[in-house]
Amino acid sequence: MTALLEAVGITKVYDGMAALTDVSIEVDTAELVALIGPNGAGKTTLFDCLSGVQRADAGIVRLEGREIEGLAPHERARMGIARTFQRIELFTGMTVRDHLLVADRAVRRSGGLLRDLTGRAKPDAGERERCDEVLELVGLADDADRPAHALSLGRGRVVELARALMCRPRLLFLDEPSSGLDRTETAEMAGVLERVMEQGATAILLCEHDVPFVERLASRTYVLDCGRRIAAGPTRDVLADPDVRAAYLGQGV
Amino acid sequence: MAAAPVLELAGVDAGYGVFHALFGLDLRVEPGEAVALVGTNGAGKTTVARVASGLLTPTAGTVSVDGVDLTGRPAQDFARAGVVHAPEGRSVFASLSVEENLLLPFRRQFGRAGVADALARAYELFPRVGERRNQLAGTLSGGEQRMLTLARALVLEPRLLIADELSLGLAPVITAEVYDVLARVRDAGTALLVVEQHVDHALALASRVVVCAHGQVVAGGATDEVDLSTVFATAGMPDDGGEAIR
Amino acid sequence: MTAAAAVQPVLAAGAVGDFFEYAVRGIPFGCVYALLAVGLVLNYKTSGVFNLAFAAQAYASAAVFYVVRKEHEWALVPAALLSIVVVGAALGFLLDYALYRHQRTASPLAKLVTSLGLLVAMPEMVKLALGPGVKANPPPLWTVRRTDDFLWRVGGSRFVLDAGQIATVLATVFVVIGLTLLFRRTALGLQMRAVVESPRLLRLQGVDTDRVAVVSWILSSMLAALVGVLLAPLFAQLTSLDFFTLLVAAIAACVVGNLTSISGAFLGGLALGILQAELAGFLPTDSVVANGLRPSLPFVVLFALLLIRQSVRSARTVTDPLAGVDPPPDPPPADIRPAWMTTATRAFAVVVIVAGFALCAWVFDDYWVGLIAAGVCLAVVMLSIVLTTGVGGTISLCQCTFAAIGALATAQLTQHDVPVLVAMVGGAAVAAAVGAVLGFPVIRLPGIYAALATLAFALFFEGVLINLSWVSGGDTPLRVPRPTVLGTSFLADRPFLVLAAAVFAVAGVAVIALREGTTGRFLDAVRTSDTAASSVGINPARTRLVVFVLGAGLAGLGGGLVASFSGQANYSQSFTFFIGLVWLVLVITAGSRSVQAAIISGISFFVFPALLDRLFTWPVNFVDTNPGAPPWLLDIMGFFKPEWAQGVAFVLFGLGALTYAKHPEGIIAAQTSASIRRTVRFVERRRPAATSPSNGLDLEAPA
Repeated sequence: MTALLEAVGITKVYDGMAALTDVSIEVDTAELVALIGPNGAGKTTLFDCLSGVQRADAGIVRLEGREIEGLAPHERARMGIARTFQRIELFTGMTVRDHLLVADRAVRRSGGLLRDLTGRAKPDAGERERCDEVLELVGLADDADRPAHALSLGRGRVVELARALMCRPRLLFLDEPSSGLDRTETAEMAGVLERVMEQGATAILLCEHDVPFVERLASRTYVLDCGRRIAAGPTRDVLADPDVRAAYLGQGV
Repeated sequence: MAAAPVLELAGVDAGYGVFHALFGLDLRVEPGEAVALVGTNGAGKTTVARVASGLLTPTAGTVSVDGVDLTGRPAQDFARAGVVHAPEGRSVFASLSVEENLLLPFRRQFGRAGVADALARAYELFPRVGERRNQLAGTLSGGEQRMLTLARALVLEPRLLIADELSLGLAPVITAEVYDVLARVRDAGTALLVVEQHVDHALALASRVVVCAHGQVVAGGATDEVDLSTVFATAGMPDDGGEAIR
Repeated sequence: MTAAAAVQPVLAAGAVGDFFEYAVRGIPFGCVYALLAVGLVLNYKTSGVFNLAFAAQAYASAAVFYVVRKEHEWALVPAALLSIVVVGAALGFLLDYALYRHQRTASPLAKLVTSLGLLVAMPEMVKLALGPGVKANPPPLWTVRRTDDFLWRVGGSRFVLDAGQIATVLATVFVVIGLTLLFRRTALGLQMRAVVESPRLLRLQGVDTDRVAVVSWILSSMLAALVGVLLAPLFAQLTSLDFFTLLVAAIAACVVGNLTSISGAFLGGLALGILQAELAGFLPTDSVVANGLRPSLPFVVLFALLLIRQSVRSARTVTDPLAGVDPPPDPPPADIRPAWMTTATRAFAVVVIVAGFALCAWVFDDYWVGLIAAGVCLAVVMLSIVLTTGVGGTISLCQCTFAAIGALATAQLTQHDVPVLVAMVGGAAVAAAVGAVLGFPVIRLPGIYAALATLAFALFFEGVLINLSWVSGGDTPLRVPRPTVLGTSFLADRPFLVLAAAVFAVAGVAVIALREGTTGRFLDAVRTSDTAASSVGINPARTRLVVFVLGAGLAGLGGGLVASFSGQANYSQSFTFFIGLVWLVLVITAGSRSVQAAIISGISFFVFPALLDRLFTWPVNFVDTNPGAPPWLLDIMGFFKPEWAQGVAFVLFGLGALTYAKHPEGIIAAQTSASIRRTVRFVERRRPAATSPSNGLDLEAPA
């Protein structure tokens, strides 16, 4: 059986500096894999290459065996690849529910000029149900009709996650979901991710600096340093690896 | 006569438009003292840092530097008085080179040996920044940008350095490196006000902790004297050294 | 004198020698482009303002120089000092102190709108201050005894460089070297480059950003003044529009330097001048290609550069890392309005509309009804600005061109006996098709570049396409009849007003449906960030393109209406790009997302100058009819002149845009919000038990 996501030999060069060199990773259905590494190791670049925001200079990306290199980000989103952002990117002027509705309609391609002009822009029963389901799952039901920008950073990150989940993703890229959150908020985020994993429909690739967070959630971990994969394997083993400790954790831990 | 505190906030109210962040907050930092300002998200920590460096003018209360009232003055007056703020996030001039970022505060670049010395000191503290001195700051990694932000603050030779969320988005190894530098800065006699989410590093560095909640100071004391668990409970922070995660 | 005229007729020589000779001839004019481009770059690099009003500033100083030198016969040096140093510096100081200081952290769009407002207002202010008379044959900055004073012998041919050209070349070299040294070698130059990125961050470094910014404004304004005085003799008479056209031609040179490189702008300008001279020399003089390509070259080059340069497409707007210090924007009126007030507002709207029709039917005379009907026709074009720029988020400076295309196509169709209303729909379709072709590349460009590309298109149309007879239908404007449908005649103004209002109402409802529906949400998402929008499956390019095409079609429909109402498709009277800029400024000032703003700005475009005309005519009539009034009263009354009306209207339209920085949601939304708050407070005082509405903000807001 082929893996859900398979990236082989991804290489990316900026202005003559190699950001990624021959990086290969695999993510299986409904597993949570972490990607760690020092700043500048190329984690975000790898995310951008996988989600189509940037094009790799070399390498192959396959989703369920189908090559997706060359597809635009929105096409990959419609195929079931969703993501969140390191620096939170909520849509301006929208409520939480609007965020979810937009994602639902974009992925299903069920919104459009004709629908607006014929006065059927209001959400129908199916759309409301799908929104409520995700809101319930991530615990945002009480904030559904508030403007998203008025929420705290912690809740905002959950909104981003909920928006991504509305795409019914088979694969979800989370770029530092605990960044900027305090401990309570981080614990909440971890809880939400565990509930998502329990549903068994989504695989997650998680980029993160919070080591306890990674230890709690990830079954496997990849480590990048200077654009190269320096370690891969079960999280516990990887974090015990002396090379990883030197490159990532430092002597302080 | 005892020296005036290098920074004193008295009864400060501040906010953004209709949104209020600080309510009658008091804070003192003595010369040479390292203070950790901790609290949950939304407690107003970053706002304290902004008010303390003149970025944000309080709607009530006063801000004094070395006993001189600077309330309502622009931020450059605070910087010239020795209160220098290294803001959170990627606070670099992305379109300037690393070296140009460091040169900014100087009126005259030529005929001043002090400039070269200041640059040399900055590169000595942050060798990685020195290696990339001709690179555009926007192309640096997150960790290097944070180091550049600190280096840029330090070339001003501050009497008080305000560092906001230093560890945000940094890998553990880089956080440790940055805090090592801060310890050297403290040992050289510069007062520090460290605003930090991840309290372990901040507490290891600081001699005094101030806990912020709902826009007010709710607790504080010398780091080796106060009962941290009680203090954190007051601020609604879990005191479990990361246990909540596991 | 134009670029083509600057180049002497072809001399017989070998092809290589010719090539070299034309290149040398192109240098002076290349320096003209370079000077203007360097001025724009200086402004953009140090203040983030893409200062289209640079042309107006240049015009202002040129006009001052003209008046003191020619009318008051000052000596050269004091006249030059006054117009370049004093007026230039004072204008720069004033612009920073009164305007741009308060917009330092505003978006590039807000700054562009401010500069457009100044571009509209400033020349009219200059005319009001210095007199409206024609300023023919502007005096040169550098006088010479004979035109062939300066001979230059290259490869056997003699070049005559006149004094103005030599002055231009010298000034360009001086300015480019000076600015390069400033930015490369001085701390002030470094701070000027930094202040545009984040003034707050720079202040944290102990730098007085206000001082840095005011110095850079004074510097750029003095450069504008120098350019104005230096280049004025190129034109037979002094008009701000000529300066602006030349400035837009120079934008291509700015793009060579990515809008920020002084040397890039200089080389770009030089290359443009030389290329133009080569074309003039080598292309057969009377061919269609030559006549079309020569004047349009700068716009073609600009367009091509925008499309092929990778650095343009990947340009990212630099965001202020400390933007979080700004208070959050006000919520839109709809969010703070309690439900009962919504009903009341709707009822009030119905009353206003009914009263408006009643006034037009029974109270206003034919003159005013005609103006209002023209305004409602125009409002359909204004609505296309709301759709494209307000809802769609693309700054389009060529909606007037789409309107013109719609009008011309309507006219051409009616020539072939197509019924007028059908022809209007056909015109809209043609405009939409042109919009699709133009929009396909344009909507992929980042904000400011999209605006420049549409501006280039508008000027290309005005400079080249409109002169082709298959576009314009010949020298006399094509006639367009008013429609008659099923025996109902719309020949008179009042029925036509009803027709126009009906078209506007249908289009307005459609725009609201799009704005409030999924399309609007998708566009909001795309405006926030392409990356975020595409991460949930939105195709950003397609979403923007669809709205751009609809906007073009709507503008075309409006253009057809305007043409039908005025009886002809008259480009130079109704649709020039400068008129288009005034329209854009008006709509954005009133509220770029608001349908009410479209109708209000459409009607005020015609009614407001007419009202001012009455206002300024009244004192004259008073003097004529009351010769026995006290002399002091006659003096005051005699001070006003009726010919001020149009100028004052444009000044007020332009200055209105300056409110945009404070109220980006538009005056209408700002006033609505304010009156809602007042009413809610008033009602709450009278009914203490009433539940207070949520203000849309919350104490949990992140700091």
